[in-house]
Amino acid sequence: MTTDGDSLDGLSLRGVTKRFGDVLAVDGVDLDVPTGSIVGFLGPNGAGKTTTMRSIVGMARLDAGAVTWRGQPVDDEARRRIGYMPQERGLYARMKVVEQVEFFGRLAGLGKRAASERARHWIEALGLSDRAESLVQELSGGNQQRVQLAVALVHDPDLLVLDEPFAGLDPVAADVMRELIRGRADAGAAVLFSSHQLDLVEGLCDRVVIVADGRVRAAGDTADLRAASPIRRLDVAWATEPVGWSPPPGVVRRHDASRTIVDVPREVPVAEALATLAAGTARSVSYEPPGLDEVFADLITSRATAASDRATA
Amino acid sequence: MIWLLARREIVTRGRTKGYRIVTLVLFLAVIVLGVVPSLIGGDDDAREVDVGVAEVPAVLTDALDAGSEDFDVTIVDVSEEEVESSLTRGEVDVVVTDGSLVWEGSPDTELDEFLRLTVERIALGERAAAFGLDADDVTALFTPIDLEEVRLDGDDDTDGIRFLAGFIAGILTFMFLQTWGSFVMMGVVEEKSSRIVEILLAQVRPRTLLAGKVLGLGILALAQMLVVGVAGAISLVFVRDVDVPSGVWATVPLLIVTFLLAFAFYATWFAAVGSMVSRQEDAQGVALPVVAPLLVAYLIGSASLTTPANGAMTIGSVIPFTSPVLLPMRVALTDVPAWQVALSLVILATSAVLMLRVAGWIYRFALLRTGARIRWRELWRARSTPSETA
Repeated sequence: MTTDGDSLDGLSLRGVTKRFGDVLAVDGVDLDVPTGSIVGFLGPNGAGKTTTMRSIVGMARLDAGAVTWRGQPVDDEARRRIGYMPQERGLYARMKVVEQVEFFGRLAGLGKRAASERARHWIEALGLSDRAESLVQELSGGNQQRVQLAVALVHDPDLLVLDEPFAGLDPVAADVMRELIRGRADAGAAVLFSSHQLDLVEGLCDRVVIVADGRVRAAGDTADLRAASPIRRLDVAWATEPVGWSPPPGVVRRHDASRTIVDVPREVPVAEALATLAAGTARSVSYEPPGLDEVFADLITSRATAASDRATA
Repeated sequence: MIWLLARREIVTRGRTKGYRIVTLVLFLAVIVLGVVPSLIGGDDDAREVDVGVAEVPAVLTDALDAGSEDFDVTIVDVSEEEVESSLTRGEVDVVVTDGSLVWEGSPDTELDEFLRLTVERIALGERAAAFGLDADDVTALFTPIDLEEVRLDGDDDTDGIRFLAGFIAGILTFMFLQTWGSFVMMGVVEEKSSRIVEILLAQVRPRTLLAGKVLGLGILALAQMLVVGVAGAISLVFVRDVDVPSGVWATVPLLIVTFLLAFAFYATWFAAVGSMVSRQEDAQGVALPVVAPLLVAYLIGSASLTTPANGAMTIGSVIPFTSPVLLPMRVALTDVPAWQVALSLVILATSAVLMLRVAGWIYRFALLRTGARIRWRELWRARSTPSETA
């Protein structure tokens, strides 16, 4: 958990709660995005990510809790310093690219000249220079995504709130997006983005927050989160078949002549089991915490199990 | 901020071909409507007609040949056998025989009247002569009596022009409120269905967003209406050479103010119902309760064109739902006490502000809810939770 000193520095959510009728969409979410850092907001569909992000930009009225930016509630002035990219992309189809980006720059409070200059800058940076005068509806889906991003970035926001920025991007575009996010954070912006594509997230985030059913299930450094898992994965590729060798206790995922994969409880030592192997039998051995995707899956599954337990009780 | 949003509406819509073409067409249509009747009607010049005469006294032929202010008559002698053929061949417009007027189809009422009067005059002259009166007596007898029209209110004879002005004021306001109100509604639905509203609301309060759209489209609507008005004035004053009383011109600023307030009221309402649906197809249904009072107002106005002082008109010109149409009509048609005009405008302005507040709130609630149309019941249930920013 962060201290009060940290929360003064960036975005901070405390006990954010939002109810839609009988459904508790967001249930006491705490979340911190310090300046200059990238936080991944992960969770399955319907976990409450979008509602939480909307509450940051003031679009969802909270039933409880508070959102602060640099220690202050997010007012109109602070909101202008946010770059927001909603999950449902939307642009004025019959407006020229450059005019559209300028328009949003002006809405965020830039002067006429500054808006024009920043619009040109981002259009160029995102490789849209030759389409600047085209109508948005004439652009390909991928280019429209870029315009959407330019709209979110035109006023060089201090806080970026990106809802599923990687959705629908091809690998090259995803790389561009990753670099862009990293670049903004390096320039001092606080970045919060949601995703359910964990492979994209792991190398990018300084921290992740995992939510399910509106509640935070886990939060922290990706390495810490993985290390906190109660299991370790032992993965051995065999050079020759390990006759007479049996894997250490755990969940055996694969065990054959070429490879053995076992999920071993963290407290079980594996060194002894490996020590009994003759030299040259194993081609490679790895013993690691499970990947973020599996940590994630475990959290979600345990939730499902808990839910079904409750149902049967 | 509002101006920024309004400007976007003006620039993007004003630039479309649709807006420019429609405005141009309206302008030309009004000019043409003004010009064409004077071309074919020949209000000022005498009409040339060919009148066939068959076996009628020479004195009648002479009288017909003399024509009148309205008719320049050419006499064509036809025999009794030729009556039908001369008409069907189109050599004559009508044939006067001893005791009948023969037409090919339905009579031309004006010409018919002229012929009847002439025939009657000659016949009466002949009868008078039979009674022993001489020609001078006959002339004296038939000298027209010039009756002067006197009005206690001292107005000129301007009923015709006021009637026309009232009719135009009514239909124009009705049409423009309905059309441009729908444009506002469609714009809202478009922003909602394209999801752009989510980025907008991240920066702008719902009420501001709404006010910007209404202001922008309101300016375009007013511009178009002024174009129509100018066209109307041109065709009235320069082409038809109508003497428009100064009182009519004095109502123009009033009409503009009324229209702007009326637009603020109705367009905001249109926007609010528009925010409740996610697809253009659903928009017509929710627009009905908005269009209905406008239509009622228009019907009341049309029915009151000749009796503008009636109660429905008086009350309707104060109620904000109907005053947008009825106030301009009433002002054009009759003399309205200044305090009533002021009262009506104040009520309309207040209602517009209230409507903006309510609509801003509905907007906030409805804009991010996509999918099924939002019911009034849901809005009513949600009303108790006040919002901190709307």
